[in-house]
Amino acid sequence: MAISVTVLGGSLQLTGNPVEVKVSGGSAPAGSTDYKLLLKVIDVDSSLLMPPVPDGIAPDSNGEAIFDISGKVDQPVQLQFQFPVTTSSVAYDSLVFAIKVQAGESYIDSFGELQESWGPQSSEFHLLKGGVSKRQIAIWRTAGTNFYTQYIAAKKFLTHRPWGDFVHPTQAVKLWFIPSEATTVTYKVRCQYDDNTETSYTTSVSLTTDKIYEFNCNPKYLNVPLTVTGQETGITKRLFLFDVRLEKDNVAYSDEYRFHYDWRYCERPFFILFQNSIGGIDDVYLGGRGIDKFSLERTAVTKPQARDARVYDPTIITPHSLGQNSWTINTGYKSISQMLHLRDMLVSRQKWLLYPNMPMTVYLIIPIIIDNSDSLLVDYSSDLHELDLEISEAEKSQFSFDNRLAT
Amino acid sequence: MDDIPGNAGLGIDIPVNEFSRAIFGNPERFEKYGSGSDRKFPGFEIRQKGVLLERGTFVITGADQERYTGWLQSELGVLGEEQRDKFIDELPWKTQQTFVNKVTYSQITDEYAAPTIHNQAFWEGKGKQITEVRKYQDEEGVWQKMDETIEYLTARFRDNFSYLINQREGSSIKSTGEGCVVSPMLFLQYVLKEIFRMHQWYINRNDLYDNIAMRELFIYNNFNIVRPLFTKERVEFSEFDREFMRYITRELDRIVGVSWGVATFSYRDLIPHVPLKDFILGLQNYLNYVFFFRTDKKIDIIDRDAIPDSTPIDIDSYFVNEWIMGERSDSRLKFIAEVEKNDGIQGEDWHDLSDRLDDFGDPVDTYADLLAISDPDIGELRLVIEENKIYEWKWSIYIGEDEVRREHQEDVLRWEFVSTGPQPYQYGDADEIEEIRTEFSTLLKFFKAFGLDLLSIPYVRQHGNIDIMRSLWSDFSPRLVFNVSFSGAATDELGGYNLNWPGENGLFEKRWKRWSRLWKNRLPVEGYFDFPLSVIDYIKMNIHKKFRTRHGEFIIQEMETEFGIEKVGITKIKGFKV
Repeated sequence: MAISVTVLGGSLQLTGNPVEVKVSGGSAPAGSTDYKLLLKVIDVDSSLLMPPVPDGIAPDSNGEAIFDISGKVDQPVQLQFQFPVTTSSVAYDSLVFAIKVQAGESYIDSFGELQESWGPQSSEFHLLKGGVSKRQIAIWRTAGTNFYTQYIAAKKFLTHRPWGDFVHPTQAVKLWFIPSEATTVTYKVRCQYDDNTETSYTTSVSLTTDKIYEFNCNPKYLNVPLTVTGQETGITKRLFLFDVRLEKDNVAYSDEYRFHYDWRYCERPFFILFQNSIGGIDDVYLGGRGIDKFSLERTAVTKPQARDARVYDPTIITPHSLGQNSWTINTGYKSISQMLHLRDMLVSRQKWLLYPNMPMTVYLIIPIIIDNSDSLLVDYSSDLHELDLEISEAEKSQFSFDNRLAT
Repeated sequence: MDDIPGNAGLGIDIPVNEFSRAIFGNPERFEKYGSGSDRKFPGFEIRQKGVLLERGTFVITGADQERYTGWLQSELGVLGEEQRDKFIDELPWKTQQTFVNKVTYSQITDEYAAPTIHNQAFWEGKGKQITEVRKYQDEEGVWQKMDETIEYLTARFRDNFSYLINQREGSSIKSTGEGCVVSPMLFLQYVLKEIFRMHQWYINRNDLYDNIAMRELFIYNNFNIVRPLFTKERVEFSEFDREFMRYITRELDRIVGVSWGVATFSYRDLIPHVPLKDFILGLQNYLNYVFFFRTDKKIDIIDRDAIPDSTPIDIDSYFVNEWIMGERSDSRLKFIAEVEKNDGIQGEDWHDLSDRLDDFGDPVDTYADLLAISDPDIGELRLVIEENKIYEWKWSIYIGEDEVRREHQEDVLRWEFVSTGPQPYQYGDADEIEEIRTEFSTLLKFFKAFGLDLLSIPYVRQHGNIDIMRSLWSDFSPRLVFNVSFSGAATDELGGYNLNWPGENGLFEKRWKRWSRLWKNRLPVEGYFDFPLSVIDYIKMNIHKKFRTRHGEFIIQEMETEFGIEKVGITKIKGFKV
């Protein structure tokens, strides 16, 4: 029987969870020993550091072997997102790995010689950096489903953020999407004002399966006016909520997400963007109190006074002095679902703080670490929920930066 | 240079539960019985997220009610342990082989070569001796005669075969006749392939084979597959037995005829008697090809001299903290090849003169060139290439004899023999010496008609071995020679590579120069990297290559990573800056 290979779990999977490939159809020839089924992972777009060595597993009693290739393909990616927001959507092919696999068999024949043979390569499938918890995998397995079925085939945006999330009017709201097939869709943002009038933003977008797409959802950046003053009435209406989805032939293609504007005054809004677990980048608005801090790490050594020392010359010098920016920023009052969404942010290994300059005209992107190790997220006996986030810049530097610069 | 490094999985703890107990047994069994086989479990693999980190034998070093503690010995470690105190000629080599007699041999189609070699001493010490008359000229130029004792078989070897092993005649090798010597010599590629195959390791990448000259190497031996074939008849002999004081009859096999011919032979007699580790290490330290043992039981034979100039792998994006620099070494590399003491060409007359490097002048081609040197310095040393002998210009005593052995002495200044060559090759001027030892060498004397390698015949003076005289067995060291394809010649220089150390085609210039430049003044460095699992796997499989960060290039000596459940720790890399 010929060796066959089956990629379990769909044509797009997360690298942080087992990516299983079943090889079957092999049988040990008579007189042979050390029979193994082999699997080679082929990096189609040369984006991974791949060892040139195939893996081998002895088949089970059914003549099959299951290979988990997640460890081979789970590599860091240089994440990026569009900020400032300039377009409604951006496509990235560098964040999606294209992979093929090839199965084979090896054994030592009766002459003691190693024999290896290979079957055809599989069709291409894709991998995305991310993963879900073991509990989630177990739930899906019990239900006979998987990530691909739940998100890609179901055409859902790659996020766990709550539906109906409250966002700041200047927030770079983002949703990420990977299609299950090459297609052209209409990206639609339906905007509703507080007087129940509506307007929409639409644009056509071509999607291919080897890219991940970033959709910028905030109508502010789609040239939709957030406030409109009636010429006759003189009454100003404000944009209240917006719904985001992809359509095809005027019918919903993707799932739909709703966002509400939080129009409450915030003197200095901060935002955190972070890599979520399933391949997208989410954004969180921090509307509470913010405190700028600075920590210092230095060594001091004594230097003997030189004969020509002047009054300016010290006898204690600091050859090593590193500073680190840190902040304590409160989330502001949030709903329970918004607070629980923060778990994805806390566990994420790549986060960025959008830090405003003094006139709040420009936001700087600062990679950060969140130091909270024990966080009370929701006390159900209370109606109000918030959290102080202890944030450190992911860099120690011997130089500071002047936040009062215009750009 | 002194060891073949292997991987290991250290500090493994496995909790005692019904699953682990089913495999390892009850922990108290270890305390009570504790035999080696009790505690070793072959066929184990360490995998994380599907990635095979190591495969080998799990060795349990301790067990209590809560956990088994042990370490994973890699397949290479298992191989080393199996082969400890064993020799490569003791492996199950082919037996009962029939000699394929032809004029030319090639490593493409054949497992052995049969080059023509001159060995005057093959039959020394074997068989009966005869007295021959030798002629000599006395002081007055008158021819005189004297008796000389010589082995009968040596005389036949001289008269019928001109002292030539594997002497060609027409389209085949002469393989019959008294004193005939036929010695098949296994190709190095075949020997390597077989040694590993017998342990179920297989060669994958082979830079040694990819070198067109190196693939022609064979291993010299001194075994003769020609043996006397006796024709016998059973006869009765009558003799008087003094114990029983009467005549008794004995039945004996009387030899009525002897013919010499090729017998079947075993490859083990063609293999030097060395341990596997010394064989591999010796080859590495001679030709500078290293053996990289992979987790999938395949071996890559890597050209180590090419590494310093190779394209590095960039792992800068994973580097964390700072490099820790060690103390730069400054050593003189001394390449020491073991001398074949049983070969009279080199043998017992070899002495290490490497501490007298400054006394050496340029080598000369012939003894006549040596004598032609005008006004040499007292203590000056010179190598005569043709003879492979080193002479010293010194105050000596000339002792002459007449025909009745009356001595006559004079104080003279003259060139006096001090040692056979070659001397260990040295690179660098530092006082500290780092020795790179190898069991391997080559044959030292070649006759090349018209200077052609195609017509090259090596010269040795070494006692031979024959199956029916194993009590007189003379071991031979691993010595490599190039087979000249489609000829019966064997040479020390082929394709621009010479198997001796000095010279523009010598081993140092062609095989060691680039690596030695790095190794002589190596700077140890230590750094930390935050590798994902896949990159650890990649680097492990390419650990012999050159790497780089923004600070520069380096080669890895050792890497260490701690793994836990859902956790891959920071990797510590020790290496040397290039």
